[in-house]
Amino acid sequence: MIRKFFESIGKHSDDQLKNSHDTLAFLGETVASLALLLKNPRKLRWSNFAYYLDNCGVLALPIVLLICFLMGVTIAFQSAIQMVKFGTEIYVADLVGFSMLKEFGPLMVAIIATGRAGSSFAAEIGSMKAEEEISALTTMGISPVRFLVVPKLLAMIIAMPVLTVFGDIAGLAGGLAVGMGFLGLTAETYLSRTAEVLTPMVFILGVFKGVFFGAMIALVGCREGFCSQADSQGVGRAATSAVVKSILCLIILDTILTVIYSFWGY
Amino acid sequence: MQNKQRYFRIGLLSVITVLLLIGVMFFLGLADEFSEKVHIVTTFSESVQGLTKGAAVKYKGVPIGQVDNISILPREKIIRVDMSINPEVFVGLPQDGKDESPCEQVIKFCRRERAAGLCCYLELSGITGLRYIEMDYMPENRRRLQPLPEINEPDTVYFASVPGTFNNMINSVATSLDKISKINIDQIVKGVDENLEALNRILSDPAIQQTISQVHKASENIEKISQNISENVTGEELKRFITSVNNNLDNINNLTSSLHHKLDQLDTGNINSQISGVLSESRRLLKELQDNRSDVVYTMHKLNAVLDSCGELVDYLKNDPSSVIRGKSSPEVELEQK
Repeated sequence: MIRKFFESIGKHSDDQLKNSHDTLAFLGETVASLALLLKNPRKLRWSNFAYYLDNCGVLALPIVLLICFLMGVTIAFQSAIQMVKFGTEIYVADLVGFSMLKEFGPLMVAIIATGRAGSSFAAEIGSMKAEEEISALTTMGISPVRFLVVPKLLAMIIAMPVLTVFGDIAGLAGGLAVGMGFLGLTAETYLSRTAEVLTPMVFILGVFKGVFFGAMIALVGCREGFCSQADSQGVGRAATSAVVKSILCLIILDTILTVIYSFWGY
Repeated sequence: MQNKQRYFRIGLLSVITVLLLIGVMFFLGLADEFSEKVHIVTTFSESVQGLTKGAAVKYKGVPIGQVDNISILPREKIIRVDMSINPEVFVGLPQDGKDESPCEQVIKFCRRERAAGLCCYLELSGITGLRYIEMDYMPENRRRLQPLPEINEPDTVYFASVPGTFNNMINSVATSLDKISKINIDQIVKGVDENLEALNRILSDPAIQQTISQVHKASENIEKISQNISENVTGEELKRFITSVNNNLDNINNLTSSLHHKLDQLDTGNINSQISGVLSESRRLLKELQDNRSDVVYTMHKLNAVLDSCGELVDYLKNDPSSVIRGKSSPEVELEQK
């Protein structure tokens, strides 16, 4: 009994080590492919890149705008209920502005992108693995990482900050709607207060988070696709796992970035 | 075709994103980063708790700039606050030369107004605990010029600082508390204790106790006497007595006049004259009695009032016998409950 227990611990540790090793190897291969691409940009499949940019960026825009607007409305409404008691309604603009631009804007956009793109990447690569297309690529001497991962990664790195800009503005618009509709503030008052307390650097740093989030979502999604089992159920599990792990990694990354930003005084 | 549409969408998104990015950056004050500012500096010897980088600088309540830096001057043990103000806020400043920039005009304005008493002080921003710097004119006695060494920046204007409203309030409270803390409460309590002990000693003195009991007895006796008087001489009896005296006097008067009439009829010479003398004497006596009747009535009324006062005095002494010693007690003061 005790022997089996320790055996299982050893097996899990070994699996995790192998997994970590494979993950690092995957990351290394991706970085190497990116470096190669910088040296020779023609090797990037631009049509594929455009497809993912369109799919993950342009087509995700309506849902991003809607969710971020509602997020801004929710934050403004909740804070307004409390602040009205103290006669400090105007500070709703501060709260919505800072929370949307620094945290909720980038994070909500990243979570939406995880649901749309992360799971899609995992399912796509998982299906290719099940169909042994990955093996075929390797046999033909084409690097699957360069062929499949790099376009997705670049597309996400570009799409995420763009979506974050839209998400931030939609969130601020949600706050403005509550400020005007519920608190009776004029648009000029609300916007001038927002402009007074927010700085361009706060906005830029929030948008910059999108770059890291995009890379994280693409890497986790693709990695889960490569790790999926070669059957239809394995593809489903990979998609689910990609979403769960992506969200976990996003929260961890967001925490790290927030701590780093706070050291810079933001 | 599909690729073309895709590229169009991506291109459109890129353009809108760039426009939005630039628009938001300018909305949040990117333009201010490129505009020229006037640098001013002040120092505080008080705590600048709540003042942060980016806090507003206001001139009579109008935002004119922001705090750029807060540093400590360890040698002088004061806080140096560097601020930048936006020259565009000041309009219509006199221009001495053609080439004078708005910044130079504002610097001149600042130096001129500093001489007129323009000072900096800390103000609270609402209930948040954050502070901003307010600039306003102060009388000379309120200005507190801090020496600012090692400031070799010709374009930087130094302003004196005065304690803020909140700081003044805190200082007043601190002074009051300091004065209160100097009051020797122990000594006061000790004095009160001693007084109470002395009072207790006086009150527990057998002579005082005896006096009080005697006063009590006397008051009881007075009460009994007054009660007896009240029972025996009531107002009704007094009226009856006076009425009866009046009737008797009237009867005597009638009798005298009838006797006089009869004696006149008799005409008995010497006897008559003697009787006449007696009657005139009687009449005079009756007249005097008539005159004194009102005095008697007045005296009886006064006697009644005296008896009432005695009754009240007895009641009062019954309720508060010790008042014989210490006099009338002061009314109790009701403390307001806050």
